[in-house]
Amino acid sequence: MIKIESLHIEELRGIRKLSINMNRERFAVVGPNGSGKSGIIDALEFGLTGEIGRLTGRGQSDVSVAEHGPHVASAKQPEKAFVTVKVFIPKLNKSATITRYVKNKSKPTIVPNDPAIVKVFDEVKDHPEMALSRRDIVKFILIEPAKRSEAVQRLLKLDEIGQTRKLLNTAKNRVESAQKNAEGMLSSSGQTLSQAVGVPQAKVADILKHANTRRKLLGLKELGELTPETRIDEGVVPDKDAKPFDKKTAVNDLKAFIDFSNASKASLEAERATVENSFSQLEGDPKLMAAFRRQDFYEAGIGFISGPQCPLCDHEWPSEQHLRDHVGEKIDQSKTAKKIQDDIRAAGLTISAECARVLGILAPVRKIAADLDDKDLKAAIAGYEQAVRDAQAASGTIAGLHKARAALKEPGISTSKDFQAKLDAFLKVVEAKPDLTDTHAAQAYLNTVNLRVEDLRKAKKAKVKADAAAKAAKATYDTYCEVMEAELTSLYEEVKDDFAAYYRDINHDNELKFNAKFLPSEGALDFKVSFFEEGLFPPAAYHSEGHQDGMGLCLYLALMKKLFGDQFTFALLDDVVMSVDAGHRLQLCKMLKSKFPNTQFILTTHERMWAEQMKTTHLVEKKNVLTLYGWTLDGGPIAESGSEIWSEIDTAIKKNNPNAAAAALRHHLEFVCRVVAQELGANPQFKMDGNYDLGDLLTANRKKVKALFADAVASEQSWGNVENVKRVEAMRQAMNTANAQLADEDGYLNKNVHFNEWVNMTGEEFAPVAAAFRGLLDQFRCGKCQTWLYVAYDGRNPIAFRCDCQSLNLVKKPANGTT
Amino acid sequence: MVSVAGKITDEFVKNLKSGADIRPDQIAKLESLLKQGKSPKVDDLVAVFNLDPPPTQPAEEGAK
Repeated sequence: MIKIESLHIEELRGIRKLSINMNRERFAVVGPNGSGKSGIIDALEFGLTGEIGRLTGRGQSDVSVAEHGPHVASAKQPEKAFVTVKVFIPKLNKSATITRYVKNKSKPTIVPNDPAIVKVFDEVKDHPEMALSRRDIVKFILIEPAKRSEAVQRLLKLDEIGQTRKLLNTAKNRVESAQKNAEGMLSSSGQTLSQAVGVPQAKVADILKHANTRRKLLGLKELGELTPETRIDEGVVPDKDAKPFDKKTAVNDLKAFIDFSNASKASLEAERATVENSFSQLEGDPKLMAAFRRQDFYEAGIGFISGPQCPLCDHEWPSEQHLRDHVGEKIDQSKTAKKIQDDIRAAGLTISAECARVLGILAPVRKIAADLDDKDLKAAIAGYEQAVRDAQAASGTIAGLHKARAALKEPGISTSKDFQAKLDAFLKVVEAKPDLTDTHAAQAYLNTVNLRVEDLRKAKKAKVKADAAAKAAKATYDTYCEVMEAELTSLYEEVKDDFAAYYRDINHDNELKFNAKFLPSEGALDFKVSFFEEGLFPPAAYHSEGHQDGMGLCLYLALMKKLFGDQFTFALLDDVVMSVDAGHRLQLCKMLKSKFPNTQFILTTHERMWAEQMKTTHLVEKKNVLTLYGWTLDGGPIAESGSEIWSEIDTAIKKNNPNAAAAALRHHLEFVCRVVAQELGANPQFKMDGNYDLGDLLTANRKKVKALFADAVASEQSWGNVENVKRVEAMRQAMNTANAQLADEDGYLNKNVHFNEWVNMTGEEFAPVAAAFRGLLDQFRCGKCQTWLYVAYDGRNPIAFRCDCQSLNLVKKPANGTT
Repeated sequence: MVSVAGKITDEFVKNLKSGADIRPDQIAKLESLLKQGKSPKVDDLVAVFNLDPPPTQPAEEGAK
């Protein structure tokens, strides 16, 4: 997305005023603890995102950017604390600056204010994961699977996928509920039609047979078939003068409903028990119940979060992420209730369908009461219908069922005793009505059956539509889940392969067959790694802390590669691999350089040796190393930017500051002597802890190079390479001279090597010591390409003594074939 | 930059099209809802599933 060109910080964190040129290149900040390194990372992060991860992470609820972002001396003046970051945007081939004040952190000034540039800054703001600290590494490695899944999903911006899956599931549930209702309506339509026809379960043949009997009586043409267009009462002319009451059908309808309501007292027993028992279980666990009750609220609420302010109570959280984490935890608590919810939902669907059936069977009774204008019964029916509709609506959601729980304790879709009494009395009134004439009875019969056939047709259509909708919703949800699972599995596979490859690069000395396995399951991501081909284990089982740090970084890099692809142009690595030993850090430098050539890493470390390794491997060029020497409250970091080691030493000597010169020289010697020992294959006296001091290494290196010169002379002589023999002799002489000059300073040498006694020297006295060491070190490197001389191997056999440019390339193998 | 969500939506639409349980017009509406840049509403999703089939074109009828 971007590369950093420069950074200007004022009054932020531990920094009063600091400008750094990062040149769009990899950059390192080195300095002791408390020298302000992380303050620079904080400033960059703040400038680009408006947040500071270290102040807003988990367990940081008592600190905030607004209060603790400004320098402590400007704590009450957030308007003074600001950062200006100049970036280069590769895809636009443009540079731009963003200036952000703590006082008004959500409204940065972007120049130029071009929409395409603003969009890029918005994207950057959306990716705070570009800053990684050692604490963040723990999120990926030493964490329970559910939390790891969250961390990984958040990094890969997968939250949206989970949200979509949930919405599709909710829609599917609603459509399925409607399908159940349509099923209930269809069932009741069939039943009321049967009541009208006068048979227990009317079939087409029954309908035609009974209808044709009436049609014949009325002199109408008999029906041959029942098509979707057939009208059962075709040709029936209503009697304008008489309003015949179809007593027989009315009695059937009334009896059917009375029988149904009596039978329904025992129906839904299992569903009612499920609802009751499930809610009791929830009530038995107050925490579960609390999470359960508020689940819809939490899930809806998280969608309203936009910024660090709570959308409900306006409480200001340290960051939006902090608030999201808080609500997310609440949602997690409710997951235990999922199974219970599923049971309740299934029972609710059955209850809802039964309600639809009740309403269907009640409909003819309502019509009879209306025809006979029984106001009392009409009111009772209206009240009962409303109660059933309420129960139906409540059955569609968990919250609704919980609210209607008391009512559901009653048997079935129960009718009150008063209502039953009214129905019984009304039945007697209907039965007392006179029978119709045969003609009127036939007309009424055909009219009623026709109406109910129409109702059945509508119910069938509605059911077909509801079935199709449910089928579509289920296919949609299932397909989404399948695709999501396949994509995530493939994504994790790819990330896993990259992760393992990076880790092998760093640990090629002993873990060449390292592998890993990601085991994604619903809401969790289990993670296992191989250990010396002995099997797969959790990362913390056998690997050291240093190896775990390496794993964390490798997983982060693999995820970032997956997320950004070739747009992974920038990352802040704040003291991330301090537990990794020097040898593996060297490999890490090489891996970062080779695998991420277009990524601008900005690294901090308190170890000068690692900084030197970054330079030696050209992970970071010398001009891109900012060395911090300390920090003061008044001045902030003490930095001497852009000078490489010898100019630092010279500067300190000129300033008559032998302490600073000596410290820099000591660190440099300690590092260089290790590099030289490694490159030459020098053998200091073995120490189990590998803690070689400068004296050990200097002695071993001198001894080794002496032996190499001797071998080279012998080999080159055997091949007749006269020029090379002369060259080696000259190098041997130069080395002797350098050693002699150092010996002249012998009075200081042992003290220099073992103790820091330069404190009693002046800058002038220290200058020849530094010059002598520099002269000696120059003998270990190529004057042309400046790389350290090294022994090249073919397998385990040394074949040459050379430099990178091979202007020096001395054969190790003599003409007679022995080494 | 890889959008995993976008990739999943594309693949999801492709798979839906290869099935027979949901009509093309419904798939098109779903795709539009999922790609609108914000979370769709449940009501809108339900409406897609309940969408009536588009009227058959006379030309198609003729072809049939």
